[in-house]
Amino acid sequence: MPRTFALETFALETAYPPISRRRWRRWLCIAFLAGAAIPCTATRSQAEEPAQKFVEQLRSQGYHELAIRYLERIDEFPGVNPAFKDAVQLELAQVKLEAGQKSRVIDQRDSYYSDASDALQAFIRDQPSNTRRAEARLQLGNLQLLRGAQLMELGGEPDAARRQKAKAAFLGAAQTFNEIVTDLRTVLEGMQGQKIDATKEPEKIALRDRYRSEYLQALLLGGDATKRAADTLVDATPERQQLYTDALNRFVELRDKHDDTLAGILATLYAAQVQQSTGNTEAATASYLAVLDQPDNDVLRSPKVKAIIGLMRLLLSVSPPNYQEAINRGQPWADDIRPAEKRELDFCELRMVLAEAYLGLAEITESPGEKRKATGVARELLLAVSRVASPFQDAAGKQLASLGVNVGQSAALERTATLPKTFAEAMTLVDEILEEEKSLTLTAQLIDQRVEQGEKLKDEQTKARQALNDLRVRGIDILRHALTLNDKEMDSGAITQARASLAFLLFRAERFREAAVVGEFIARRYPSSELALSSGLTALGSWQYALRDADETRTPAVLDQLQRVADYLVTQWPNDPQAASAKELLVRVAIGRNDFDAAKRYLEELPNDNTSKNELQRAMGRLMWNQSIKLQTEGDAESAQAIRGEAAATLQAGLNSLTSDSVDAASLEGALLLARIQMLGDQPTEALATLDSDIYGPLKRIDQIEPPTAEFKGEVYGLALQAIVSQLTNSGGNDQGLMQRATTVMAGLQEAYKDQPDGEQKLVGTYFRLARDIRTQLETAPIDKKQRLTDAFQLFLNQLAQNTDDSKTLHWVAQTMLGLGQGQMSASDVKATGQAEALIKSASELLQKIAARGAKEPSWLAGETMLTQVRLELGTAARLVGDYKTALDSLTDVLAVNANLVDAQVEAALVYEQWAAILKPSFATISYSRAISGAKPDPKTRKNMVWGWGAIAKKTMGSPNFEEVFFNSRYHLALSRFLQGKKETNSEAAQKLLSQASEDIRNVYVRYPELGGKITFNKYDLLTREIQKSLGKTANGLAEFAPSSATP
Amino acid sequence: MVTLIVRTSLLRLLPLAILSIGLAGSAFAQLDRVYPVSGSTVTGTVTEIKKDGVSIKVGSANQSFTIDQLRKVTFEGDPSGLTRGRDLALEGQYQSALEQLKQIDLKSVSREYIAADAIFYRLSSEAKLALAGQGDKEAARKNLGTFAGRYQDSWHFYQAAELLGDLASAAGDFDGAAKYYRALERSSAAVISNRASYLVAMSLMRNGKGAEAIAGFDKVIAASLNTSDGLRLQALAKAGRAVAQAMAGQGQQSLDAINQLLETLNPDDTELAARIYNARGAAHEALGDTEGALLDYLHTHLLFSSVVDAHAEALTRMVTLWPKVGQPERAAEARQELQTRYPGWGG
Repeated sequence: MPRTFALETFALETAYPPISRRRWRRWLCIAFLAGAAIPCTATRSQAEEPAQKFVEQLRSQGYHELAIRYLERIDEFPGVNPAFKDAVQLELAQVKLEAGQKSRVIDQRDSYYSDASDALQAFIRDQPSNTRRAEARLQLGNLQLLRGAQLMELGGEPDAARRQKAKAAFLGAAQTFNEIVTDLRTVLEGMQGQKIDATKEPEKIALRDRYRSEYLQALLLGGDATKRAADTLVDATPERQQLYTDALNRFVELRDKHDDTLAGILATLYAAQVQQSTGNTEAATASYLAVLDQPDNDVLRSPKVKAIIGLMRLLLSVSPPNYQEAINRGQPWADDIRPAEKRELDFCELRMVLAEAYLGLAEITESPGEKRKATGVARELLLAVSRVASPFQDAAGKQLASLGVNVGQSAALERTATLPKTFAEAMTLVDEILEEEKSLTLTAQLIDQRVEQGEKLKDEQTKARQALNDLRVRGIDILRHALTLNDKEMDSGAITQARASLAFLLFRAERFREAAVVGEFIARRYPSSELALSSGLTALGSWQYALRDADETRTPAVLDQLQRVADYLVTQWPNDPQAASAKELLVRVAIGRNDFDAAKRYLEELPNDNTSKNELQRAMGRLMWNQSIKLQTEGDAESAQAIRGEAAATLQAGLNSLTSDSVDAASLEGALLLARIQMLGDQPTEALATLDSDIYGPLKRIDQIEPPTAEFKGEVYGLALQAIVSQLTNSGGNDQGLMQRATTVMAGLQEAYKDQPDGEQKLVGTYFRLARDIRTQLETAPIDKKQRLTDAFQLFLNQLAQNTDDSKTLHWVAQTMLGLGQGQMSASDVKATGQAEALIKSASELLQKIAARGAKEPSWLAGETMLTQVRLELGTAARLVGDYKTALDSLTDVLAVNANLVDAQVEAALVYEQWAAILKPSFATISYSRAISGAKPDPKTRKNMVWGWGAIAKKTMGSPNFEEVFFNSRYHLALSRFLQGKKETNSEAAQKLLSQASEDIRNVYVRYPELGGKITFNKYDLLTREIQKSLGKTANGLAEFAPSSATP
Repeated sequence: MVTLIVRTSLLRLLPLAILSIGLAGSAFAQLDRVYPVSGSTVTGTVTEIKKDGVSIKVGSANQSFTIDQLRKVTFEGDPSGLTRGRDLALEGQYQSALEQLKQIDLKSVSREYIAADAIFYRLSSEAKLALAGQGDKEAARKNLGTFAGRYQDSWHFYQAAELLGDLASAAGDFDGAAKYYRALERSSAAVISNRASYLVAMSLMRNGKGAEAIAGFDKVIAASLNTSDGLRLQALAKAGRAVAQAMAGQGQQSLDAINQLLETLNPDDTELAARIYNARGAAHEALGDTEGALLDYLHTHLLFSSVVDAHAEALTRMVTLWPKVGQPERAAEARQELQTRYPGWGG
């Protein structure tokens, strides 16, 4: 009858796995079978988050990082048992210990252990009365043991310092365990007198049994830690002897009192090890045999293999060594190593010791055949050890080197020196190669990792990569060979398997094109095979890598292949989630290739729950936008507009499904693009709503999310301003609110460009574009909107003027203001009033500044001509607001340099004419005279710089280019004379002037009866009538001068 | 000779035997049994079976049970294959149930009620296996459809309709599924008719129409259902509603609702638990919390994988989520499991 074990303490083995409650429960089930009534699982029906069970499941799956995160987030799960919550630090420690053990990265492993230690100490400190406190302390002791073991076993033969540290760790562990023993002994003694009814208080029974179990564990572990502390001492010092004696006493006591328990069996094993270390060979042999005499049971497999190793070492240590007996003992175990055990330390050691026995046998045997055979077996064993990371790896490598075997050479590779004869044989080899490929890949990755951390392992790195490559190439060769064999065992399933393996190895060997071809073949030829989809995905992945490596000329061809394979996978497995990634890839490829139609089609086919769909919709929106620009450039405005509509809908769909947390920089970009399209579609309200969205609106989120580009903020504010301005034109509503908003947005815009190298230029550029847009709108705006547009315009122009130092921009602002002001004046207005006056005044002030700075710094202006233009415009502006002195000064400056500038001459004459209108009569007549005859004599030439109307008319007469100026100046000549006459207090002189005015007109009219056109003709006619009235004549206008009827 | 005599006597007795079966309903009391969901078994003669309930005559009194009160009904004359197969099917051991049920020779079955029961348990077991990826869904759908057409008065009619909906849903035919589920609306049992609303809402949601589904869930939540099955249905509806909210981007509201359900969750109710954790996963996804979502779907995957559609759904989501936390190989494992356990899931 198979024996069962009353208590389990198996967790205390070399590997020191953390003890999970589940494992202990399972082990306690063995006790239950033996008769102890301990409930293995509690029946639960109350509401509860199954935290314990879930953590155990996560651990069993190797999802340690998620188990840790789950425990860290445990408060987010309602209904967690309070007892579990109280022990969450302990659970965390257990997971971290296990994670540390599984980790192959040294730093990560140490970090896990350190965290586990902290968590355990926190639990012990914070939960003094928790019933799991002893368990936590056991774990802490285990951790100390683990650290000591690592110091002794990892990194080659330990030096004195490492031994010292290890001893300290072991003694610390021993102390921890001994304290637990003391505490639990007291607790158990206290419980001994209690009468517990198992049916009424099963939990008390369970608690007592747990304490007993923990007590035994602590007892055994304390002994083990003491033994290990002794092992750290090289010399047979009294201290070493004392430690061994203490350990042995404890083991013997345990063995004698609990020989029917696993704790007792382990105590026997440890006792044997102490006896061996202290040279008591006979007792050690008896103890090892006692362990080996135990019945077969998986739980005892590890203690037994340790016993075998110990026994073999004893056999090899006698003189002469008993190699054959050692082989007889060890070989059956080596033949029976299970796949999961191949990497375990015990079995590595078993193979190592067995190899030593075979080598020893080879040494002493005389038969060459036997010698070769023994060496061959040893070599196989050593190769197996050399492939697993363990403390025996280096020694195995050295032994192999002494046998002339290259350690880098793969074992499977060695065995495949000749090609297999049958398909089955080939596939067995391939299985080995695939297994080893996995192992070597890991080794290569670890070496890469160490190189990255600065270790000088270049040679090892090269060798590891070479070994891996050789193995893959060999695997490929074998598979190709196998596929040519005409073997009856080759059913279609096996062939597909071989091809799938081939595709995989080609992929791993980075022979992507070949991998893609094979993978795609399987996917197409055997679509119902369970390997079809994964092979298709291999092909897809291969083409993706091929794309990465392709140069520009090859890229289109590779993209074609990629698209073809993805297309097939999507069609063949339309609902498979993995194939869905191919759908996504198709969209990306098409977008990347600017293949508008394909991208659109694939995107429509992409399921709505595809997590990348939002992102792809936004990318598609951008592609559509580009397409619309292309069409617009080609002159197909109608199609461009249609695509913009689609782009807006696509972008909107992509944005609508976003949540506040999922918005990123790309989302903001998408929103900005949508707003742009909306602006183009004359939807400023919608554009502003897009920019203002609480979820994805760039205006709202701009300070929470890192912008995609440095210019992004500025672009957002710029577009927002544009939208606001458009609203001003379109809405009859809240103008004041919009203006206020515009001011705020402008502040944002300035802030956005503040620290950018070319920020000022961009800022001015934005204002400039906006001002220009407004001006365009003003030209077509109805009168009722002109007023508010002008306000907005002035706001932008002022901002522009304040923010730029660029003379051309400033000049443009001034010109625009002046033009706008003039535009608001009627033809009969001499002086601006109201809004027009405000505009022209601003223009005048700005032009004065430009002129003043231009005079001082000629290089600031684009050239001399520009200064002349500015002064001329200043003359006009100043005149229109009645600042005649400034106007005249400015115009004089112009004429002093260029007297022939007719525009300036006209403007100056106008100044005198209009100025006269507001002067007292005595001064007015003088001013009119100057308007007519000129003024400002040049000190050198004595000629008037200001010509006056008379000279202007004279100089422009007969010139087709100045026809308009001629008729205008002749008109003003007559007008000035008429007005002067009206101002003249002397009636005779006045009469004379009026007659002269009439003559002025007659003279022109006689020569040019059309008077430059209908408008001018009418002006002349009206003036003539006024003169006629003043002269007391019949006011019949120009008819007076016509011999007959004279009309244009 | 002896043999001949017996045979002759048997031949003589045969018409009598047939006669006695024909009179059984009136002349002799039968040992039919009704096993209600709660309470003692009732033994008597089943006098009427309708799609909404079963009547059994005990002595001179008739007792009626609506279908929501019924666990199973057995009949005198049940073939042994049916007795065992029925129990196995009710325990969820469909493969073993089928082995028993396939042994029944329907031609030898004397009562139509028995035939209907035998056929239903066989077809429903096949359907359950097909849903779990171990059978032909299309064939199961076709056969169950024939059953529902032929046995419109069977007390299993609504169960058949629901299974037909499940099969359609598993094949990605959500509109078809909704049509089948709507058949349940005609039931006089409030919990069944409300179940129709729940199932239709679920298929709308699986079809991506979360907003439309909410009304259906709300209807169930607002209904006056006081039985334990009814309350459970309402909890399921709340879980469904939370998923719909998550689909609409209302992740936080969804999570709050689900956490309330979790506080009263009995983890032994695997179906409810699986759906609640899946809903929680959807809420976390809506909130962009991939890790949280994975933890939720892993609850379903590791603890409640017996709920076929919920498990397949959890695996499907995990295939998408694992790569986001840098674990593409786990995504491949989940995909492999999905393909192996539920081939053709979702059509």
